[in-house]
Amino acid sequence: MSRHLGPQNVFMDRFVLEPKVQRVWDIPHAVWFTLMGVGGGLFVLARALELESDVGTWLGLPFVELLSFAAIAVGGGILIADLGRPLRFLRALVNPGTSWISRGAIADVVFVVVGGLLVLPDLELGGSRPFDWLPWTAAATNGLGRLLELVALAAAVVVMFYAGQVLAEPRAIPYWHSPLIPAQFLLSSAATATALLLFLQAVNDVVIPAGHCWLLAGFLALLLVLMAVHLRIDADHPGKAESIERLTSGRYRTPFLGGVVLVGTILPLILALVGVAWADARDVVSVLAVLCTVPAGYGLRLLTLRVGIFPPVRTMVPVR
Amino acid sequence: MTRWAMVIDTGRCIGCGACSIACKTENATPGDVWYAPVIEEEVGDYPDAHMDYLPVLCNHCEDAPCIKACPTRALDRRDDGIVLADDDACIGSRACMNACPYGALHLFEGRTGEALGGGARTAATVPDAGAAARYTPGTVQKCTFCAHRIDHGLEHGLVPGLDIAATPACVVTCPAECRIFGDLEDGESTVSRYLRERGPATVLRPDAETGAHVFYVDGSAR
Amino acid sequence: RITTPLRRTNPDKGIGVDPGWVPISWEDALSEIAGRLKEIRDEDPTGLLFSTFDAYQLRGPFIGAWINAFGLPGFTTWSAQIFCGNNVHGISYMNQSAFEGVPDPVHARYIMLFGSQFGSVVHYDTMHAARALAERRPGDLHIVSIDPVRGPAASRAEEWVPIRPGTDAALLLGMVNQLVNELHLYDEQFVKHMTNGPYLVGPDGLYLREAGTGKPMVWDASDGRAKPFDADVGDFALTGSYAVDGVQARPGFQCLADHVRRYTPEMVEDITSVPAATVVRLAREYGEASQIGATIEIDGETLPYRPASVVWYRGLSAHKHAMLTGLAIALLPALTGALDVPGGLLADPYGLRGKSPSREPQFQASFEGLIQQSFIGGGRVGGMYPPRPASPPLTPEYFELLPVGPYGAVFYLLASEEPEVWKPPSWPKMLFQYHSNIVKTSGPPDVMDRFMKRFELVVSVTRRFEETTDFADIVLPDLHYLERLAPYVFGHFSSGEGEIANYGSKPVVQAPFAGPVPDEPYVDIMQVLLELARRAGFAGAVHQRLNEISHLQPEYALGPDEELSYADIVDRMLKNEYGPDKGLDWHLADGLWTSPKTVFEKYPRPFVTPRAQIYFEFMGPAGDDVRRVADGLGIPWETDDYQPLPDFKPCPSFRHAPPHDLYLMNLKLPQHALSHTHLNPLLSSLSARHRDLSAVMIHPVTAAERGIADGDRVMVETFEGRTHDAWARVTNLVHPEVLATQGCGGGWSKGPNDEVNFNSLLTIDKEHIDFVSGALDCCISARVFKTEPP
Ligand SMILES: Nc1nc2c(c(=O)[nH]1)N[C@H]1C(S)=C(S)[C@@H](COP(=O)(O)OP(=O)(O)OC[C@H]3O[C@@H](n4cnc5c(=O)[nH]c(N)nc54)[C@H](O)[C@@H]3O)O[C@H]1N2
Ligand SMILES: Nc1nc2c(c(=O)[nH]1)N[C@H]1C(S)=C(S)[C@@H](COP(=O)(O)OP(=O)(O)OC[C@H]3O[C@@H](n4cnc5c(=O)[nH]c(N)nc54)[C@H](O)[C@@H]3O)O[C@H]1N2
Ligand code: SF4
Ligand code: SF4
Ligand code: SF4
Ligand code: SF4
Ligand code: SF4
Ligand SMILES: [Mo]
Repeated sequence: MSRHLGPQNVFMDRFVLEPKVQRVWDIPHAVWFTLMGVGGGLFVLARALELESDVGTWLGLPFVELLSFAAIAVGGGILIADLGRPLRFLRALVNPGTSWISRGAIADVVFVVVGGLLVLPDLELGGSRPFDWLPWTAAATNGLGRLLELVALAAAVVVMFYAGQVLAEPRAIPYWHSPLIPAQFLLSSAATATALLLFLQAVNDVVIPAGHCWLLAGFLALLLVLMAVHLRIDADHPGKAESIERLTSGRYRTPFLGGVVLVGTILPLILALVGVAWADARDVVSVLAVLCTVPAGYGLRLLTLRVGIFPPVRTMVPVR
Repeated sequence: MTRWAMVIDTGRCIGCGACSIACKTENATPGDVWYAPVIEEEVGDYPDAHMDYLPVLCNHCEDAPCIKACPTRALDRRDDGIVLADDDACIGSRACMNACPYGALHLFEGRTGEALGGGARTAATVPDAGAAARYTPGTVQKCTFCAHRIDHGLEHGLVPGLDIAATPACVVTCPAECRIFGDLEDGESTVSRYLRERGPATVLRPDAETGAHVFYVDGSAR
Repeated sequence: RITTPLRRTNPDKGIGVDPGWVPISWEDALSEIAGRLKEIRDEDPTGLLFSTFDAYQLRGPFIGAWINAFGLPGFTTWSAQIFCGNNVHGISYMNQSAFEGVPDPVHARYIMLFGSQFGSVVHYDTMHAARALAERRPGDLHIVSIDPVRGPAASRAEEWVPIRPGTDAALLLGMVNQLVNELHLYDEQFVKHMTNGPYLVGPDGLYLREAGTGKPMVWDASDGRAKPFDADVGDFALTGSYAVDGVQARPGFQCLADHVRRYTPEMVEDITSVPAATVVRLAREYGEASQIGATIEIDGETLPYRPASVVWYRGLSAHKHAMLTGLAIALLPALTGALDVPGGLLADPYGLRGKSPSREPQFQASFEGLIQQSFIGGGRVGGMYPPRPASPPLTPEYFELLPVGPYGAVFYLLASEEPEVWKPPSWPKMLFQYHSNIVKTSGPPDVMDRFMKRFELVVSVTRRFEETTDFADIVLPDLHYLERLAPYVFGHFSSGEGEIANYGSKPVVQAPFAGPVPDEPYVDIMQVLLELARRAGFAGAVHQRLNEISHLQPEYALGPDEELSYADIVDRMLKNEYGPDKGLDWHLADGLWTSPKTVFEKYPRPFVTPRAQIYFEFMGPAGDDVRRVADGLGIPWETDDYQPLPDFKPCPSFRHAPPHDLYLMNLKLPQHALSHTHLNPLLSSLSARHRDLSAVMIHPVTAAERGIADGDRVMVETFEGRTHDAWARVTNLVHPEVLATQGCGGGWSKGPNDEVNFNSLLTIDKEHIDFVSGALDCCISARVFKTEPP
């Protein structure tokens, strides 16, 4: 992996006062960021649109939610594997007071545990439902179920954006230090999840309502606006200026503008509007939207990581 | 109370790198890891161009973003202000590395020697061998303000900042005496007096609001 | 680490050739070497070339005594002799009775660095200078660096004046012209009484001498007649022209003033690229900062205060015409009276030899009333005044043809390359070499390869395999400095403020292997040398010579037949030096000797009478002498530079025809000491992070013209066709006509690496050697072009 070309601390490469591009997080992180986002998003949106039971089941459980848990689990696995001391991963839960990694890890655990509990009563094994004695249903039809669902939903929302929050909290990397980063991650997760839901409906021969296309278009439009705003705010600040330059005219110009923005956001936005207008196209749109948004979600996160630039330590950035 | 702090007078620094080496040997840091780099900056246009030198190290921040980012509380600030990494607690998440604006945290990747770079710089060194014994692969290590020297010195009635054996290695090695160490809470300490007499002082990346406790003074009137 | 004597089994020698080392016993090694030494000594001692740059022992008497006892006049420090101090030591001996001059870090207010990194951690007495100068910042001190490159020292200077390499003489003479002819900023009293400025010079360039005594004459303006310089003179005339017994004569000062008149600011600008206005300004600043006439009270004595000085080193030494440049820079502190007074250029070590209890500093006067070089240990760093008589060379060092030069190691290489032209005397049979890495630090590898193969036997004493040891026939293990006993090493002996201190090295770690003498712990290479002397039958002579060099009083004198260990001798020498209670035991337990300085020891100049020189009359006759001998030998020895007043003369790189119209040069790194530390991975990885090891510095405009961007892979090619690849470091810190690299990196003994090996680009030929000082021009005409990425 590329990070093994040199020490992860980029400040050690050469002792020259210059912007330094972080090398601590790269592909593994982009992958788990994406998986967490999509996983959380699937659960939240499926529940919000009350679709969870319409798009297929497996062993009696909503397929989409299984997908969500799987994404989180795989993402978590990658996260853990990427740790310097993977076996100690449980320690990550001890500092939710200040650490967003800790908060996120707790959210991951809560989500998987509570979400899992929530759907457990529906589990079918060999024709029987061994957990149907549990006093709630997967559809959260009673109070206890609603509570579990609420907790799982809250955790899932955190899971959707906390990776962005990990980046945004410290001020070290100005491009990251903005609420617009987690907001972008949140919207990207929502859009990707929506596209996946459209696709799952198409596969399951569910008629896709126009509203879902509106939703997708809305998420993408908002994401587009947030990206544009983020590229404009404080665009001349040391560190951030270099990040933007790398994204918009430097080595990542094509993957970012052509990939993430055009193919990954604007194109599916247009497709979603086409879907709004033309019901017959929705199946095709859903396939194309998945093909566009999933890589774009990954690309957005990877490029965000790759343009994480520490300004020269001596720079006096205006204090906001 | 005691609050250890350092003042670096860049006006005196000659960019010799003695501090970098002193720290490396004192703390047996592995090949890739330098707690005390001296950062060069070329400023100005020919023929008024010159090289400026900026010695850096962990700022032992009051509001240390590394501590906040750490999910395991492996990073902590002692009562005397020294920020230390506990390699028994660290899981190697590296959240701290991207939270510290100064590049003051290092993941010990367990490589000793071959990580030094191409060709000749591959030999394992004494500090490399020391590092293998001292640090836990996969965890983060950082400048300790030479806490071992301070603690040892205090136990023996010495004054950090004044007595060599109680003062950080990078400080005592500097030939130009640009590094001043002492207790910021003590108005008559070396650092307090230097700041008073040679101030004003700045910190690095003030925008990052870290509460850095390494202060920079430019005594030169260039 | 080498822990046992080794013998080569592969008779083929060369770079990259495996010597096939096999361990042998000390006994075998010593008896073989001693046998050869005895043969050579009996036949002709010049059959041995002894080379070292052992800082531990160089200040002490041992090596010199051994060499002299063997029958050689002095040893060769080899690569140092090619590159450093060629135009420093002779001049410092002449005007300060010192090995070199350093600016007074405590009282100076204005220092000009001419090709020297004084004040950074390069140059000498580095820690002390760094701290002392830092103490004076800010504002109290103004440093100007005249240098083609703004390296670490120059970056800390208040001003950088980029200069075209090899042209400093023009700038210096231009400054002298301003000071004496335009601004009249010079210390008239000093020049009259403390220099040979008033000595009358005839049309032949020689002193007007008193009939009979031969004493140089001066013009006494108060009673209008010529007198010997040491007569009762009312007023020494410095200017004018006087008829003396029908001969028209001018004081030396007037000759100088007339001579430098042609160095107008415009001419200087044309040669050096330093703007004419800057030339004038620098002269004025230097002159005004000298505060001529000012005094300062030091320890109750009122002394002249001249807080401006110059310092020069390799940057002026490693060039063609180095001696002329040295003479030019010698003028500045002499004209302003800044020699060995507060604020000025201080003697290091003062009074020629560091003070120790048994030796007082000395300024000896020649019969001409000038400071003359007195005896220097057993080494052979020659002074320049009075010049030594020339004679046919005894060795390929041609030292006998360097009457005013300090050393001539470079001629070994010239003679090795072109023996038909230079007709060297017989080549030494044996090279005994330790503590210098000459194959790396001297000429290009192919030149050194041919040179090293000329010896029948090469003995290296070394700790580790290096470029040079690869050519050895026998290797003996040497010690780490922490294992060494060498009581004469370190010390602070310069004049100026502070104490005199001596704190030689002592073994704090026991060597992990046996040494040459079975029942003695191995603590110093002198044990090897003493054992060899014993076996080769000249131990008594060594004792004898040590008695002389160290002025051993009778109770400590070494008997010729006494069986003495190295420790015994050290013990006696220490007691002789510091007193009966300060022998070896004291040294091992404590060993720090300090002594406060008297005012005289701090600033000797006002208290002594011998004069310094600003007119170098001796040069003409010395040149005639050399010419006579060289003509007799039929060799094309150059003697044009023997002139009484210096001039700028172009070096071979000056305005070289395109495409090789850039000046390729090098400078030392603060993090490295010569080639020695380049085997240290910590230091190397540190320098790599400072982009210093494998880069060539190129000015942005120069780079742009050649389509080179920062970080590109480039090829440097000298006019001679030697090439080296490097990374381009495009920087404003370098003169537009210059390519600069670090000096001593890029050795091959540590395995393949991408560092620049500067010396592989050097040219060893007549055009690049200064035949007066023995300097090798370290500045080569070259071009640079972009290469494809590897
Ligand atoms: N760190 C360190 N310190 C050392 C040493 C070391 O290797 N490393 N070596 C020691 C030894 S043996 C010596 S001899 C001294 C040498 O001490 P210095 O002579 O002070 O050191 P150098 O770097 O060789 O200095 C040469 C300077 O001259 C400049 N220069 C080159 N050509 C010209 C020229 O034509 N004109 C002018 N004006 N400048 C020129 C170079 O750019 C460089 O800045 O240092 C001693 N101290
Ligand atoms: N390009 C370029 N060439 C230069 C210079 C330059 O600036 N640029 N500088 C020149 C100058 S000024 C000088 S003085 C010369 C110096 O050149 P050298 O005299 O060759 O000096 P070093 O390269 O340091 O070699 C010293 C050797 O002694 C070994 N050594 C160290 N300690 C001990 C010990 O205790 N015992 C023994 N036996 N060996 C020991 C080291 O490992 C090293 O190999 O180089 C000159 N060459
Ligand atoms: S400088 Fe960096 S590592 Fe040190 S305390 Fe501050 S944030 Fe933490
Ligand atoms: S790498 Fe270690 S010290 Fe740093 S944030 Fe992660 S657990 Fe904390
Ligand atoms: S205080 Fe100690 S650990 Fe920190 S940089 Fe200095 S020497 Fe290194
Ligand atoms: S040791 Fe001192 S002078 Fe040298 S680089 Fe470090 S801070 Fe600067
Ligand atoms: S190498 Fe030795 S003598 Fe030179 S500066 Fe360093 S400590 Fe001083
Ligand atoms: Mo030297």
